[in-house]
Amino acid sequence: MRQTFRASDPSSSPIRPRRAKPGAVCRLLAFLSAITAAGLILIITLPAFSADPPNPRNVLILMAGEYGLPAYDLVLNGMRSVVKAGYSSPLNWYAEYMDTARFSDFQEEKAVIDFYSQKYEALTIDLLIVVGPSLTPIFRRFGDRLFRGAPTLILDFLPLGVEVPRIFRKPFMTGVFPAADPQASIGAALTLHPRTKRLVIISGASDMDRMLGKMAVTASRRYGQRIDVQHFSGMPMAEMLAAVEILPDHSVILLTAYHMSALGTAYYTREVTRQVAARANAPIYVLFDSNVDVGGVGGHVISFQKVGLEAGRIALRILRGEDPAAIPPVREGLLQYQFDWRQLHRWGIPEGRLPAGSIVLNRQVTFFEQYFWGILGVLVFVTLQSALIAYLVVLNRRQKALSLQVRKAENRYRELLRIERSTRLGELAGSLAHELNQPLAAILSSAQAALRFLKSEHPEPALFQEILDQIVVDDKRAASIISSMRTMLKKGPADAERLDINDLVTEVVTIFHGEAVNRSVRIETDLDRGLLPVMAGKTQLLQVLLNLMINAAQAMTANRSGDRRLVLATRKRGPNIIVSVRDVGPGIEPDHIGKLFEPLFTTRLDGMGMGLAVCWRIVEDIGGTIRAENHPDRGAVFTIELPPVDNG
Amino acid sequence: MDEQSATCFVVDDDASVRRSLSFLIRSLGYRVETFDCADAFLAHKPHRGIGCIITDIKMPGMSGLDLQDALGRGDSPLPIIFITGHGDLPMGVKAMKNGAVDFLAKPFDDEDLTAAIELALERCRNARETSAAASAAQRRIETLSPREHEVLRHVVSGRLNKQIAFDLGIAEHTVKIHRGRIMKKLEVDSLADLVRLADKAGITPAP
Repeated sequence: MRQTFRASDPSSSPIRPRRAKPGAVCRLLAFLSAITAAGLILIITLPAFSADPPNPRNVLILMAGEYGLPAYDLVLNGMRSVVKAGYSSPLNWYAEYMDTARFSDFQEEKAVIDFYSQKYEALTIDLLIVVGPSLTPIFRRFGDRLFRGAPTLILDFLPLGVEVPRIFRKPFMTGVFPAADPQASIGAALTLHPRTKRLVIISGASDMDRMLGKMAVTASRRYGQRIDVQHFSGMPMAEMLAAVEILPDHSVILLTAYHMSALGTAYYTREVTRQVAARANAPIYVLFDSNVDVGGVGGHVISFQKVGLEAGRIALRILRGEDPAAIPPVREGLLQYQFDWRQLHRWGIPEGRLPAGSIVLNRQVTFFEQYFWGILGVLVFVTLQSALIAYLVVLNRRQKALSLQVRKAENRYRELLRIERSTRLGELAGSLAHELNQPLAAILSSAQAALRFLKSEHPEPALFQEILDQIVVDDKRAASIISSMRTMLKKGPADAERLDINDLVTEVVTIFHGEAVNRSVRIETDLDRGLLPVMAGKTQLLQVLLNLMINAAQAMTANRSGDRRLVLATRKRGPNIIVSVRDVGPGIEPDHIGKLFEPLFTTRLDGMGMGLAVCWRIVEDIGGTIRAENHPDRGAVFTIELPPVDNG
Repeated sequence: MDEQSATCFVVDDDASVRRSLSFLIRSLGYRVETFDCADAFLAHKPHRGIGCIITDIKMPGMSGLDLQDALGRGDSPLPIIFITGHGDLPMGVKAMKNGAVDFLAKPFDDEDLTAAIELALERCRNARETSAAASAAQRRIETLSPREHEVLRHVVSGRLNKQIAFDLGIAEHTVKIHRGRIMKKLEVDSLADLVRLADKAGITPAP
């Protein structure tokens, strides 16, 4: 007979398959030393109450299995957390691992029970918790001897439908009895893998392993027509790992429990699950929650956590003084559909297909899921910022386009002004030529007169003086006309300069003189000599005045030739300077007064309707106003009001 | 000297033109009077001597052509020389049709002006002389009796005495006596002189 034993240091390796050493003495010695090491006394005293512990109560946990079973961790943690949260008085916790699977000799078990009896003889055990698996033989054998009727809480597997055995129904006993449910796990597996053709049931060689394996095989019969069922019962590890690597397509594995191989090697099911999962080419379904997160896809599993919590609640009630007999055993609500997200992912199982109420463990939230709000925030921020930047870029573009347009428009405006000016000057071309011709003719005549006087017998120096003076005057006159014309035809924008409005009037009269003569128009000026200068482009202001004068002259075409009078006047009005152009024509039709300065408005057949619009723009640019009205007597008056130049 | 006494009347709104023309005309040896508008000239007392008018066609108010019209309605014999800025041909043609001496485009050469002035003065002078002779002949013809005046009209129409006597219903001899008196009163020696004088006096021949 082969047996295994466990080293005193359980944490050296997760799986410690060992060959048990033969020899009873040896075994016993080893057992005792193991007990000494493993008989952990867990004393949990709450600090607040430890100062004055009235009478610490004692809780002994007796575990049938070995130290380190993953299931125990889950159960004990759950239980203790409930007790701890609900029971504030001091408690002394004691725990013992009977390791019955590996020390299955009855004699030894008896020795163990005796050992515990002696060990705890001096203590009153207020609560005894006996944790399976496979407690039935122990209780059957030792029954009442276990701690003299202390309130006992029994945790063990018990198939549904099987009545709680009498030995667990003593008055001082109650229990939590989960039932493994291989059928539901198989059902879940077949649902999640609808194309399954083969079910491989893996179980170990221990009593419990075999029992669960049998249950699974029984359960699988239900699907016998649909699938092949293969049972690896206690198959040695190496073989099994090799076998699961080459399973045919559409296989699923149900790993029930594997605590020992047929060769007698001890294992933890949890570790077996881990290894099988690492090698198998098929998904693994399990029966215990302790095996879910190590490679098992999941299943309808016994939740040791729930078992622990239920046990904790009952423990709490007993510690608070309730009679265990009054506490009915808990048999339901201990299972749970549990799945490992990573495995679902690996096998491509959509979560939507899981049975209702499933718990999914180890959900690996993707980076996106994990930081959803952060990412969302960043995205929103980045989006908003991008939008803002885009908006700014667009704005910038638009502004550039706009300023380009403005510049173009400005250029077009200047060009329009210039064209308008040269058009107007063109209209005056004849009279301007005449105007220029006058001084030239005068100069020629004067010079020829001088020559003739020179040849005469008695040249008079005073006369020469007079003639030369006249020549100078006429030359200057010609020059000023040319200069005015050049001003009017200048292309670039005119810089604003200080202008004496009276000088400007005089100059425009010079330019217009020929035209006035041509049209038999008499020009009168009425100038206020005490005016401040204005700030304006000379060309533009000349243009305005010239336009107004041309209009005025044209307005009087129908008048008798002796009745054509154009009056240019300058005045002060408040701080401003006024220059007005008046004619004695028919005046402006009242309907037209409002529209006069609109572009393209004209009453002339040959007019472009730009003259007054241009005037309006120019005057507005200078910061002045222009208006048209009819004179009370007759004719029209155009009045320009300009601000004086700042004295700054 | 006759030429020295001639006067040129410059009518121009442009002071430069007035002054320079005045220099030039003076350098040619004529007297000058200037007016800045036609009205001013018309207001001036009429010139009885030899002279001419030099005026711009275009002027504010009354133009040169207006002035020409105004003078034409009166009995001023002063010839007009028009000057103008630049080729205003239609007006020039009109001015010439109305009897202008010349039409000078500014700037003009002094030679052209000289020629124009001389022509104008010549015309003026002729006009003056013609009108003087006519008035002398007129005065003499006014001494004739109505019958003599009637006989004169028949004589200048080239009729013979016999025809005249028949037409007037008088004796041929009587016609001869009338002719003798006419010749004597009009202080002419020949028929040719008689005809010339009658012409100057504007006697219309009898039909």
